[in-house]
Amino acid sequence: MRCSPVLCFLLLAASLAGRPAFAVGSIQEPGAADPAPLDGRSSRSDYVLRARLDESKLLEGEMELTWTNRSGEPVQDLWFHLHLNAYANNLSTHLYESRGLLRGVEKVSGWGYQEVTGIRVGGEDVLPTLQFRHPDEERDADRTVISVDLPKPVAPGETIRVDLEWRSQIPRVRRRTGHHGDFLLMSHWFPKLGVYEAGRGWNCHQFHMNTEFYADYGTYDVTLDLPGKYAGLDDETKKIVFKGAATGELVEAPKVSGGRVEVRFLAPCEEDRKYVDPVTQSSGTQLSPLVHGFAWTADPDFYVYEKRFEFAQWAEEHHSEVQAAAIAFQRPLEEIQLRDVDVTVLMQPERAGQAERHFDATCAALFFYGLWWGEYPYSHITCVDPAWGASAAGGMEYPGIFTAGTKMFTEQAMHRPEGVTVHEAGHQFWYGLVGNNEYEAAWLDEGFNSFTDSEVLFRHYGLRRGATWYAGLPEWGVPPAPAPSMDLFDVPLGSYIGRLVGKQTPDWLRDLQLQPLRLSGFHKWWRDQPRLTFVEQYDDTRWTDRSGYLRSPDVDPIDTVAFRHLNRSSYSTNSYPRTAAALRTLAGVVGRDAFLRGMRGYSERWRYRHPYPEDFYGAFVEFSGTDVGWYFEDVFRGNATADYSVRVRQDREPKFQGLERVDGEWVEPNDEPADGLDDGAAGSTEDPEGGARDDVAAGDEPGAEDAKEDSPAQRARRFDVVVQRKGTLRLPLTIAVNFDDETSETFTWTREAQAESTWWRIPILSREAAIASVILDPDRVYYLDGDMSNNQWYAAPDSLAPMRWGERVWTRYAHLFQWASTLGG
Amino acid sequence: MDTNQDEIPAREGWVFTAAIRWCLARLGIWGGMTLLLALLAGVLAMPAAEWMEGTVGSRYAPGQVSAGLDTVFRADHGGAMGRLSQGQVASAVVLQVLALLLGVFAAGGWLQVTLERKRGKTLRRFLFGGSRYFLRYLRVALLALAVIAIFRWTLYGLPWKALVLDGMFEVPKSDWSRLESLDSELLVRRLGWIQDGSMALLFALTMAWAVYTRTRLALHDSRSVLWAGGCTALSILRHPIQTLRPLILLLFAEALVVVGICGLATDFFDGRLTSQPSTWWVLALGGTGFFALAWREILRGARYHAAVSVSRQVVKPTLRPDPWRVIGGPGGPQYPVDDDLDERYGVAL
Repeated sequence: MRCSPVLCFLLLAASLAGRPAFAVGSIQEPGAADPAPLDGRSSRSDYVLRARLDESKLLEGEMELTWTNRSGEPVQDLWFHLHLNAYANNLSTHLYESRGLLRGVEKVSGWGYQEVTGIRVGGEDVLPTLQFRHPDEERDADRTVISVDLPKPVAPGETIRVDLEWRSQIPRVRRRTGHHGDFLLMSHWFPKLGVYEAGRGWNCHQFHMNTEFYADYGTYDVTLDLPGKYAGLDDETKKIVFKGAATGELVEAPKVSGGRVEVRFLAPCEEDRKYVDPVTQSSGTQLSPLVHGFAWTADPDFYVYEKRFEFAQWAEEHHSEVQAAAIAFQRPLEEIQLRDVDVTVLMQPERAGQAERHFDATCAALFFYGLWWGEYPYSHITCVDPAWGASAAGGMEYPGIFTAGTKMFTEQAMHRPEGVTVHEAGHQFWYGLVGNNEYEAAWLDEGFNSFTDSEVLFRHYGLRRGATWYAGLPEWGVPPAPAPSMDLFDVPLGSYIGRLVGKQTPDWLRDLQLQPLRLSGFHKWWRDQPRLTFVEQYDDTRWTDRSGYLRSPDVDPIDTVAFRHLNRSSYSTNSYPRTAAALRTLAGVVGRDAFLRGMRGYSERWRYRHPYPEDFYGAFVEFSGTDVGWYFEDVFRGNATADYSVRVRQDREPKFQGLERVDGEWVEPNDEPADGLDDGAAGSTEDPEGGARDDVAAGDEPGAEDAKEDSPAQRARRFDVVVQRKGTLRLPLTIAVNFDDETSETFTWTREAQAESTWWRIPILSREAAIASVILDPDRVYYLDGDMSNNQWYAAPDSLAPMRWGERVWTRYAHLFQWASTLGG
Repeated sequence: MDTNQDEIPAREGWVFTAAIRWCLARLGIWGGMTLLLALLAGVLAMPAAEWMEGTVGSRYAPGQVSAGLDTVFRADHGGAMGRLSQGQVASAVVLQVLALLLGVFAAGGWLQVTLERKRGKTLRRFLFGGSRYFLRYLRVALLALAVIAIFRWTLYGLPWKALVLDGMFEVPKSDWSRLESLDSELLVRRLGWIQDGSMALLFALTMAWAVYTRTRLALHDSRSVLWAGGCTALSILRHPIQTLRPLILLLFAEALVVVGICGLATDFFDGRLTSQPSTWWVLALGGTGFFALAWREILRGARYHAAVSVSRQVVKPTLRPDPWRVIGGPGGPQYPVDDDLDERYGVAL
């Protein structure tokens, strides 16, 4: 096993980067000495924000930022994100990269902006020094990053105070943040300080299409002054409540006056600020929870559902998982138990019936992620169902609050909204608690999260059941074959007329399309007859990660800066399913327990800090106790792929032909059978089967007439089983050979042996029994295998499958054609 | 209304059951039609089965992919499955047109057999009727498609958008495709159901109208599809319950058997196939599909039988002599007529 020198150095450096031993809870006073070590990865930003939003969605805000420089270097300037300017014009980096499309919709209206109107550091006005920055690429129209010069450098360990005023026009939500009608999802809504990294300077990227998060941990004290419609009366308590939620918790009851409502949030809330995160406690530090962002939402229509996540209840339901985790981490059960958490689900009224399912999925994430990667240390979490028309706000994660995404009439077996809910809730751990640089290494949160959410979905909800939708209503199953296109019957009459008449053709006439067989939902259902002609389809979410990975297996390495991928497809594949498949395969390589230890160790070490990819590699190697640097080099930093396959030939040993040496002379063999041949050794009579055959099925030789001496059945079988590997990724491969006498042999093709040759003929001795099956990777742990259809061989072919699928396709088309025939008469 | 035409024995109010009974006895016709459609489907099913046989080979454990194609299978063979699907779609378009023409032919056949009340030589009379009316009924089919296209344009095109979306809900033109400016998903869904439901209803009405139009064309031996179509529309408007009731009941009968009984049977057999993979369950599934197909073919004939029964009550006879009072209907038989004295001609005598 080899590890590149560069990687070895990085792993060593990473393993030496211990976690800081200091307590954080209260805001550091400006000028005071910072007790924390200057590790360069945990500068601190504490915000006090006050904002007023008017009916036209114009927001005016004030900020008091207290920043503690733990970079270990003096800092000369400050860099801020102005994320909302990504939606100011179509030439911003964000929109330019997405070619003007935001979640499938072209952005042509509803623009927004963000403008700093005043900024003072230590009371000194630094606004004149403000300049727009383009650290990644020159794009003048992009205004998403600014910097101001400091009156004097901030010394290592020093704390400064920044006062800032800004104004924003909130854009119509097309991705991540904005409004739609009265619905508000306010993320990236205030000027946010970048992260100063030792030796690298300010890490404050332009707001790219694919990336969004990187900020220091700290605390938030936020007061919002909003139109009065965001206050409502609680049906049960008859008290005024805020129709919304935010990171952290409300400090006091909403204040309503003059048609306005004022709410104040603390994040983390006061209770959490006093709470010592047990994950940090177990590693010898005493940290209280912090957050690295603040988002809020409001909608007068929200249906509010509140319930408590109780660990004991979930531990009872998934007792074996708790036991397995305790064994893997070698810790007593009480050390891995989790705190109970208040869950709020904000639903749209028409989907209020799905509130419990959102709650359950959120709890599933809190339980499994907490069990494996460490407790969710906050007392509260909010799940938001975006309003109709604001689905672009869905599927987003922010500290303590996240948006899901669903539609009416979904069922739990579809994993919708369960899938997105578990994923976004899971981001509380990967991105929330371990604050990797999402601009540069999105895979460290998205990929880790995809890996985990698939595991959670499989364990808690089982397989995902396929459905087909008609008129917005689901029908279980999928068509076994596609329906013929109906385009043939389309007549673009308006277009024809337009050509004849010319430019004077009115729009309504141009619109005239005759499409008789573009069926409506109900009619399509009648045509398809799904209950008669469809097939059930189930998906294992763990394997769907592999399916996603195979879409783009080797375009870019996983460890690629998120906005430097070839295209969005490469970004999506690498950051989500490919990383998930790579992690799952890693678990197969090192074993589940070692894998859990490695991941948990990384998670604990980098909680409330900013890890780089090499920090992950180093922590994993250290905590898992395995030497898998080669794997990270090949799979995460390289594009190594693997496709293992097996080829099997088996037949009887041939009978002896030709001359044999007897008493020093070459003679024709005697017709009499040689001694001992009838016990299954090589025979000497004619072999009716002739030479070797590929894929010969066991027991199909004509030599079943055992009574006949020296028949083929009496000769032993010889085997030719060859395993091959395509691609440069070498994984230690287990091969199970099963014989028809119920015996089996297991072989291992080591990485070292694979380095010598890309194929291996498995040494199987001749024997009487035939091979019933040969299976590579019998435990199916290598999710990166590019083609698993050639990973096994069975002597008995499956004759039922062709018949079954032929029948399904026949039934499908027979009824489609019957329907078509009724159009004729 | 006295149509001065022979009555088909049917009890009042039970036209549809009589029609089903009558058609059930014509095994040759519906059986033949079922087989023809089965053959068309077989053209696509055989390559699919062959592909599966070649793909599965000895690479999967017996029964592993019989019940369903798992995630791994679909990922490994995604490309090949995509190509197979493309081929199926291309072939299915052609076969679908053939099926449509088969339907045109079948309509003429069924009406010939229904109107010419003669026993024996059923299949020959069916073939004769199919060819006799083919061009006329092809025009009916095209006219029906044109009508459906106009309905569709009305419900999904500019009229709907201008009157409902813009006029009633003030949805801006830029949002007509996404409807995001509406208040809720529920409202959008309800509007969709109104659209889809109306379209399904109009489609069904058009199909019913086409059935009666064909029947009228045959009854009067006329050739003007437009005239017959117009008259039929008026007849349906004048006698909506009398004309539509049997067809609606036949639709229910179709849904009951195909969706209900056969759907449940499919569900049951599929479940058994999953738990106990066996050839018998596959045969049972195929048998269920075939039975449902046959039933739909029977009901096709029943629709025309019912339409004839109703039309004889609501359609005025022509001023010309009734063409169906001649053996073989208008123009006389184009097939050998037996001299069997036992034969009775329900219409001709």
